[in-house]
Amino acid sequence: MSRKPCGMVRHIIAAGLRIPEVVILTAGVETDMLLAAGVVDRVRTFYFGLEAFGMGPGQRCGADMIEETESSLIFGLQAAAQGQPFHAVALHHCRALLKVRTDIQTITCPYEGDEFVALPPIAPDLAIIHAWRCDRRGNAEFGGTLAADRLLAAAARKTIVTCEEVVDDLAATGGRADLIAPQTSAVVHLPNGAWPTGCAPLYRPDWAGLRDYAQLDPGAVPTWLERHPLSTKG
Amino acid sequence: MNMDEHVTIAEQMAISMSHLLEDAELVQLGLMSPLAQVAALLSAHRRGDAGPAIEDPSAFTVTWAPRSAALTCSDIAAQQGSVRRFEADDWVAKIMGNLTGRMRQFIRAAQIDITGGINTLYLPTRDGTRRRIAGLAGLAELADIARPFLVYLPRQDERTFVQRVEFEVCNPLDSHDGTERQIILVSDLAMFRITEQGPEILSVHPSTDPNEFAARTPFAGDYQAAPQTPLPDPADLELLRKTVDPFNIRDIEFAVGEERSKLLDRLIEQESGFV
Repeated sequence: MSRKPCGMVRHIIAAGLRIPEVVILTAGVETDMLLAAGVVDRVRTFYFGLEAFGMGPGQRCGADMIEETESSLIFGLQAAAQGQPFHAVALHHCRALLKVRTDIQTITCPYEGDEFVALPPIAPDLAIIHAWRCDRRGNAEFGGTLAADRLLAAAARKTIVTCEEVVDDLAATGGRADLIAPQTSAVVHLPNGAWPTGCAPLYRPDWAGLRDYAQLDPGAVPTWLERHPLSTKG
Repeated sequence: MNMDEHVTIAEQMAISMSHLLEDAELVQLGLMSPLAQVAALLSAHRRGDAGPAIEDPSAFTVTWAPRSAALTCSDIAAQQGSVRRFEADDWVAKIMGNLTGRMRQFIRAAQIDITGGINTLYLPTRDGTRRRIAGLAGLAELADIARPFLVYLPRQDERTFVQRVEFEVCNPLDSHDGTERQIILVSDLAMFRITEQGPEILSVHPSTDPNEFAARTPFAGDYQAAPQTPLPDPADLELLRKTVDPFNIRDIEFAVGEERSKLLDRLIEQESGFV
């Protein structure tokens, strides 16, 4: 429930953009909003839910899911980041995955002859990451948990960072870049851009807001979002 | 919910589960597994410096710092006093695999069967359909690493403890090599061990009704011969109630409907200034 790019998601919905596939390690309210708005075709993840609140209105509508495991998603992103055609993993880690993913192939190890699963690379067209602060060059400091956002940026073709604060020089403030400027394609100043999730060190998840969101009917989501207007700085 | 006038089933389960964690070098928490969090923190508190390190999957931190359980700010709490913040890919790709046999984690299964099959993906509903509840997560990898493999069921019944799961996400009994191929299941009725030889009853909780046990258990175990699960030690109970879980997040896994909503509302309010 931290640093989810909910503000940018809301701009995507408002702009009427369509997303063929969302790639996300743990899908939560940001993905749920996209589903509730009907702007996403499928979701690639290994977990989807609103934690204590169960399913959100978008998830309850149903979603076309591409099942992943922790390893298959992370190794798929790593393969893309490293330009590899696949990442080989032990077959017994993927038995369930192979049942639900007919697109995944196996490969024989050329050295020992054992069979492995060849996980395909996962290369998103665009990574959207919400950070605590960025500087004028585009260096970004996440704040709080790191998740797998550096890997996501490395695997993606382009990376947009939305941030709570823009500072002149991150190094001069004692900050430390989690993404360096050459890794960021664009920076968007979007205060409160993680809401209703949190963004350390500035604010915590709005659990009451998340609870209220989880209880909405899908058709009530736009009205609910209108009651919480987005900041338009940037 | 009360086992007797003093000990709830949540307390009985949390304390029984905590004893199964205290020999581990590291305990990994799960996303949204309050009872597992309470059990792990209780184990760490009880053992002090000799206790397991705690890894939190929402914060990707490792800590030995004692703390209390929290539902809405566990990731923030987990960052305080931690020795390291990891990136998710570092933890999954570089570290977890090296902890084989040394780490443990309690998994809340949607279903578990008598052959060791575990399902976390689909929940059979009462109208006969299946509902996708979460994802494949890291269960197959965990099945290789965590020994013994630990599972809990806040409600053991004909849908959750079964002859055969609806969909097998993993089976720890055929997932890894070596010894300790066993699953320990802690439910609201009893504790079980599942091995390649089949399921067995380790102990039955003091309040369990024999008829209810028979109706909700998918194999014919010798109920009469099974020992009784020891009632929690008073010191453990005090540690649990006053220090480890003062807000009673343990109860959330047993509450449904309006009761659950009220409990969530209370926790949101109480925990707002907690960390």
